[in-house]
Amino acid sequence: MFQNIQIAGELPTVTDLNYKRIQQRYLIVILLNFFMVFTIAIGGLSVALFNSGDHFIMNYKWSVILVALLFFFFVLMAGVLGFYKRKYAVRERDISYKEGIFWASITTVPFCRIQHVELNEAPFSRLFKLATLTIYTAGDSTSDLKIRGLNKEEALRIKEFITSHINGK
Amino acid sequence: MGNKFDFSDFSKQSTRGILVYYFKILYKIIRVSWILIVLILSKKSLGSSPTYLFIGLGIVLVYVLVRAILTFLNFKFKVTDNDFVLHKGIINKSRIAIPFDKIQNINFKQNLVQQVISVVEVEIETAGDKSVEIAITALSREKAMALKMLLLDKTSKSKTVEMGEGNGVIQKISLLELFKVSMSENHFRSLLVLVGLGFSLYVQIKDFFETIELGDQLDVFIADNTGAIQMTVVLTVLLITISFFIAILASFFRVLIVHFDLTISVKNGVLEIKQGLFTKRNNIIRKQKVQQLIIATNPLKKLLGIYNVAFKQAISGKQKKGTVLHIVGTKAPQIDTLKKLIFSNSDFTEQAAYKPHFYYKRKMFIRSFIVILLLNIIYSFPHLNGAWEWYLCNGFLIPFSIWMVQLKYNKRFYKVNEEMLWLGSGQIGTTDQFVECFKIQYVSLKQTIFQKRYRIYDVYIQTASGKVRIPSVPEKEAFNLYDYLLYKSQTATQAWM
Repeated sequence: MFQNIQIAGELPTVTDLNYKRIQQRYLIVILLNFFMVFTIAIGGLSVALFNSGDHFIMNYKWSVILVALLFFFFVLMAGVLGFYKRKYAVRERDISYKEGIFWASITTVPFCRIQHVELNEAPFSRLFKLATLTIYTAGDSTSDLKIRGLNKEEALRIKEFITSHINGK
Repeated sequence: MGNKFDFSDFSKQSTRGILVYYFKILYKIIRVSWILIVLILSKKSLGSSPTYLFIGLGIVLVYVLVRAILTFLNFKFKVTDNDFVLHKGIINKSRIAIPFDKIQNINFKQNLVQQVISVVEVEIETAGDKSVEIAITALSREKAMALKMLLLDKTSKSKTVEMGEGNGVIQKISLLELFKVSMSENHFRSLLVLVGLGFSLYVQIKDFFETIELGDQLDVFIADNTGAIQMTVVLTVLLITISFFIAILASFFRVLIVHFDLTISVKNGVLEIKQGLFTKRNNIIRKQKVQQLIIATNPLKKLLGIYNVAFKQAISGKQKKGTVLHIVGTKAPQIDTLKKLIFSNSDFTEQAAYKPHFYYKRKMFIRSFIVILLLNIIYSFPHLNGAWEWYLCNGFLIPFSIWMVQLKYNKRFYKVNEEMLWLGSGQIGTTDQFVECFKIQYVSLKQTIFQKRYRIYDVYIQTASGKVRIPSVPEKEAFNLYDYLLYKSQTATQAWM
């Protein structure tokens, strides 16, 4: 492939990167978030269905709830399985992140193109000393790389590393 | 030239600028309240008390005049040793200082009023995420040129990359060529824009009538009138023909207004593009700022040997407009010149074209098959019963979609050379996209669960002016490209913007 292109030495490749999994504790955060949404949605749906005077809705209320439950089960499975696919790797000059089961993706952002880095702690994540790292580059997209569920110290370390690289330029 | 004007002290705009402000403010007021004006004018009660109307009108006009004068008086600017300083605002005073190294471009603009009183508007494009727009509304041409020279001179120290040498005009479009361009435009798109415009106008008017509780009456009025029209086949055909004619006319005027007197020239190694009928725009294109070059044509244009070219420039901060610059009617040798000016190496003669995996074609076939299947299900609905003629549509639709898929697949390819990426795409039209490798922001590979079986990826390339996609690339090739692009952007020594 690309035989015509001359590059001194071997090209560094992302295929043999050592990907690190995000913190196991983040799975609990995913589950907590899920059950919060789940309770509100199913609770609200049940209240609405059981208080409805409409005959048609009354007849089908159990099937509606069943469909909703199936949907949430699917979301839960995707969330749990997807968790094990979330991996990241930091090299000397770039940061890579991969995720997704049905729509898998790998993204690599070179440090020299990063505009700024953000560290966020959502309420549940803070409870488990986890942080979200968001990386912005130039262009129209709002956020370019978002790694959730990092150990807070680790996230800070990566942020420092990137910032020093940007300022060192 | 610069000696004639002294910018080191605060100076105001040309006095004629008051007139420009006057019309700008008036235009703003009319744009906000035109429905109200129409309504007042159409009121039958107008005849009984026209005096109030004239008094009201007088007050508005005086207000506009006072405001224009105040805006003018409060606007001043100067050039210091380090930056360009601007003071403006009547009540909300703002003082802006732009360091020279932040200044990217200086563009001239002339709307109709500015053309009549012969002043130019100077826009200063800045880097970084500043949302403030810096524009001097009215300067005499000589003063504007002097200011531009001075600023360009001061900023040139921070500019490292210059374009190749050579002066002269690359392209100058004549009225006849402009006519050819507009005739060969995509008229379906113009038609859609027209329909959209009409619809939004309708919604706007309806909204207004609804607020004054006349919405129902309007709907009844429209329903009555449409009911009266017998929608025969002849009428439909006539309607389509007329709207198509209008669409062609609309294309013509759009092209004429935007691209009138298009002139592309190189001066001191800087690319300069002038165009416009009512609003004359004068843009300078800097090599670093161009993130993508897009060249598009369609069969009709190909026959005439002309192309539409778009320069996609980096989006800085919140400023969205003006980042894509379109030119039309460019011929092949001129495109070569442009490419040579903007890119360091646009030679692809030795590079092979990489086609998408067969999956890409199959996916498109399946999609069009599903659409046709759905249509056939609709044909079989009871309320259309007996109308077997509907199924005849398949005789046209099936070969048509096969042809479309083939066309789309055939036109998809990408090429890579040492410096650049060339993406070909299109269906009826043809589009070529050029991206310089070192200007890439980041790269992504995406894979759906269906693509996983074939070990193929979609490659997404993010530039500062948007995403570019290469569909269905085999795994090994995708990773090679991925690594190569990353390598290029990491080892780049040139500024990407």
